Amino acid sequence: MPDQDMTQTPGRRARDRAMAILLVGIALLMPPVAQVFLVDDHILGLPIPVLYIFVVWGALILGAMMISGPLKKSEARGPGAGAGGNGAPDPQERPPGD
Amino acid sequence: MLSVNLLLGVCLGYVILLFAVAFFVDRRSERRPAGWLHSPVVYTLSISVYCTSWTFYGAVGSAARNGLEFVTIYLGPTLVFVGWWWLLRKLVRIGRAHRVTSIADLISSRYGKSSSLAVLITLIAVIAVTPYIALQLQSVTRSYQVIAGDADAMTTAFWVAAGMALFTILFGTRNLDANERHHGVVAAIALEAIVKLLALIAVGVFVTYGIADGVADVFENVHPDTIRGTTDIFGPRWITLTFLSATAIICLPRQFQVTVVENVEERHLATASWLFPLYLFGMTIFIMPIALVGLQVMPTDANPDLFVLSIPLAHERHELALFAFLGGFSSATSMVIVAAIAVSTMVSNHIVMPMALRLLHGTHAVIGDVRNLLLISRRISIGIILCLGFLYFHASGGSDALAAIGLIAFVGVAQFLPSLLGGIFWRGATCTGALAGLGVGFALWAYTLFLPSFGGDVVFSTATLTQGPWGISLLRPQALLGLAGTDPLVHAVIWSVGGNALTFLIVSCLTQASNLERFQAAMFVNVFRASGGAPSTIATGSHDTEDLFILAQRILGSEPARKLFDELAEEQGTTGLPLASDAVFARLERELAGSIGAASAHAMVSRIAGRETVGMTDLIDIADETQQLIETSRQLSDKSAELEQTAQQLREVNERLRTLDAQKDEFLSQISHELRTPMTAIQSFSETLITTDDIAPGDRERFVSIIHDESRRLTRLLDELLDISRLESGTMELQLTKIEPQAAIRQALDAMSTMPQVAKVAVRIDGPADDVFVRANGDRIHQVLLNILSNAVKYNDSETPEIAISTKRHGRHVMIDVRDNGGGVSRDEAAVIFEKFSRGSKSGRGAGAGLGLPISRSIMRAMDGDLTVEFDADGSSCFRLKLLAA
Repeated sequence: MPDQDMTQTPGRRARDRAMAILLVGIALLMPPVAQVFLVDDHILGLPIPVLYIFVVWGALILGAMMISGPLKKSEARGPGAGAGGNGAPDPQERPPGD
Repeated sequence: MLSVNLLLGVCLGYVILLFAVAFFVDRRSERRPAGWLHSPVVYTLSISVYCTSWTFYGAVGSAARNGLEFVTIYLGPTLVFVGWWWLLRKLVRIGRAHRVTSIADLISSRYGKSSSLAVLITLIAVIAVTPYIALQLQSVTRSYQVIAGDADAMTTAFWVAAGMALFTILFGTRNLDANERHHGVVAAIALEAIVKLLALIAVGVFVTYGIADGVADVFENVHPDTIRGTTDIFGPRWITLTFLSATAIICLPRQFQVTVVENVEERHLATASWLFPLYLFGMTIFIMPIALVGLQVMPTDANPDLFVLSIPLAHERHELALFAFLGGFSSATSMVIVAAIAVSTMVSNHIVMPMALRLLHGTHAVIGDVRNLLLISRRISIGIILCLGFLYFHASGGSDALAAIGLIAFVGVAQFLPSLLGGIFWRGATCTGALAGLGVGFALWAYTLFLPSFGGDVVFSTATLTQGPWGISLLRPQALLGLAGTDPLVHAVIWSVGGNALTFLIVSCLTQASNLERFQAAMFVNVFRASGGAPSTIATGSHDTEDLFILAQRILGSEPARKLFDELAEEQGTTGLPLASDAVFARLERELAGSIGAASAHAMVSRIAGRETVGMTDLIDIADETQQLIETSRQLSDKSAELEQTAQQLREVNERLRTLDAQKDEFLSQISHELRTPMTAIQSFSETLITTDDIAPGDRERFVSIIHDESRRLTRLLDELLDISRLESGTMELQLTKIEPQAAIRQALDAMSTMPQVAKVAVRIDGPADDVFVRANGDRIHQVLLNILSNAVKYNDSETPEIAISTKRHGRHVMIDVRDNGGGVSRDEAAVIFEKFSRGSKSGRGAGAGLGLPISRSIMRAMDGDLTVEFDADGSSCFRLKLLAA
């Protein structure tokens, strides 16, 4: 697929972000990072561990929302992953009388 | 108190509403297959079947017992959906490209359509899902008991199970969709998803702002241990639970059903990637407050698993309690319906149908029979699954905390993970490896988690649990090989999933995959390269020929394929595409065999003829790859032909160089010979003059004159050589002027008048009027004419010698033909007389060095003309001087 590198620069960035958000999410929600926030204190009336988990969760949702559009686009355009369908013939290649 | 009749009435009304929605949507999607029902929101809501009554009731109970830990059950799926690009997208693509009907179908087709693998996965799924269904029955029963008070648990559970079985059978098996999609059911569970979300939020808001005084008040006097739980919260159990829930969202049969099988469009996944985590966020945001407030306001013996229902009841908020009951009811029914559909599809496709077909083998079963058989086997499977759920509920006595039961199912289905991930990312994974891994994982799961879950003395005696079977402490189910001190769940996950993955890995490395397996592995692992979207679902004769045509185009090329199909259509007397007949298949197979070999051609054509099981798009991709290979090899052969040609040219050049080298050697030897002859004469006569004193004066003069003549001959020879070398190298610049050829001819004849032979020769000059001029160098054209004319005189052996000189204009050129009656030159001589040092057959010894003609030709060419020998039809020849007209 020689044209892959020419068309996928925006798609590649979206994909890199998709990987980054996943790795960051895992790192933030798992020990040892999560243990840092295991503090017996309150912010805005909420215990810090509860607040921390829900804030990270919300941020992940926001991040996923922001990259879902570019990813969808890159998939529609992507040469290998295109939804255009390699299985269907081009219209001009259709047999006569089809 | 809420009346039982009102509760049953509302439930009945709700179920009728669900029926209506499912019915309406089914009818609608039959007429119009698209529309708002196929929106990403409905897809996302259907995925939320993940939130069962375990979430609705159990999460609060879990939060009350273990603090924040309940969140892990929703963090795992969040991570999987946020990272949808890397796994879910591939699963959905594979599911669509290969028309996968269940997780058992996906894994077994990846491993070469292994039926034993499909059966094993189906069995594990049934066993793992049973406690989960029991959990739903339990929660509906208990919530009913909370309201109805003294109802008998078993009777209630039985009727709940029966009702759910009926609903599932009515809508899950109403018709058979080729893709196993159930639009009506999906719409119904989407509605239920909204109901359960709103119900939980309503209860949450009431508890937080109605009972407590806002969020800050809820958390104000909470002991830190209530949030941390009894153990270190962000520890091994946290990681294990997140891993398990992430696995469950992929591997649970019902999740696979809604996420992969019921997926209508791949791009819906992009929306679900954030909308589903958002739904989970909404479902869990009030769990902590409900649990904490419940712990404060409810009596200490109240079951925290039912806080969602019991808190509104305790505060006399009956309509809210009813709504909460409906929410829990929705959670339970949606899970049971989808799980029953998913598992019954697996049971009927992989266990009942193969057995039935084997039994029916030999009888004349027609398509309608098979269809009915399939529907009946689905219905019976659904009945059996709910029956098993009820039996588990009955056996376990309904005493365990909800969360524990759900986790048993999670670990059970987590056994699919190694084979699933290995199957879609690793081409080396083999069927034997998957079977071994699943077998080991399943056995360890049953031994360390499932069987002990019955508790008491149902399967394992208390002694077996605490001291190991037959007192062997190393085999204790919850401390296998002495791995004690860990949480039983973490222990079970480490042993079963770890053992499963390692066995899978090792056995895969040690065993060989079959051909079909390798092929399927390539198709699954490279699904994004291989297939574009789902294959078409229309399966008619013309569709077949269309596929055949596409295939032929890819392999034979566009134009030959068109010709072939036109020909086939003509034979059938149709226009357009020919109908798919055996003759067409046979002919095409022969044609394709020429390009790709007989075996591949047979495989591809018989696939389209419906005798194989591999996706059409995949085959076309194989054809594409073959085409690329052919193209590459063609380019290579072109390149090698080019090299061959270059080598040939080199050989030719080399040959010419050799010839030239030989000619040069010959030239040198001739030149030394020519130089040597006069030198010898000069040397010998001068020696005679020096050594002999008494030479007669006459002789002396003669000798000196010979030496003088020979010196002049040498000088002339060297001049000629110098001339020819300058002429041939192109360094001699000739000044060309306008010259009258007739005048030049006469001048040359005058110069020859001293020759003794000239007197006898009759010269005839023909020519046009005097106005013909040529571009030439006067001295040089004189030299050439003198040479040609003197040759004509010298070598003329006729009795009455004659020379005819004719001049005529021919286009841009002027030709001067010199003809004599001395017999001319033969054709053989004509080929060599222009070579240096060659002499005609008539030239005798000492007649010249043989450089006259080569020099003349070089001069003529230097003046943009030529000197040639021309032959007439009668064989007579003439010298022709060609010059540019001025």
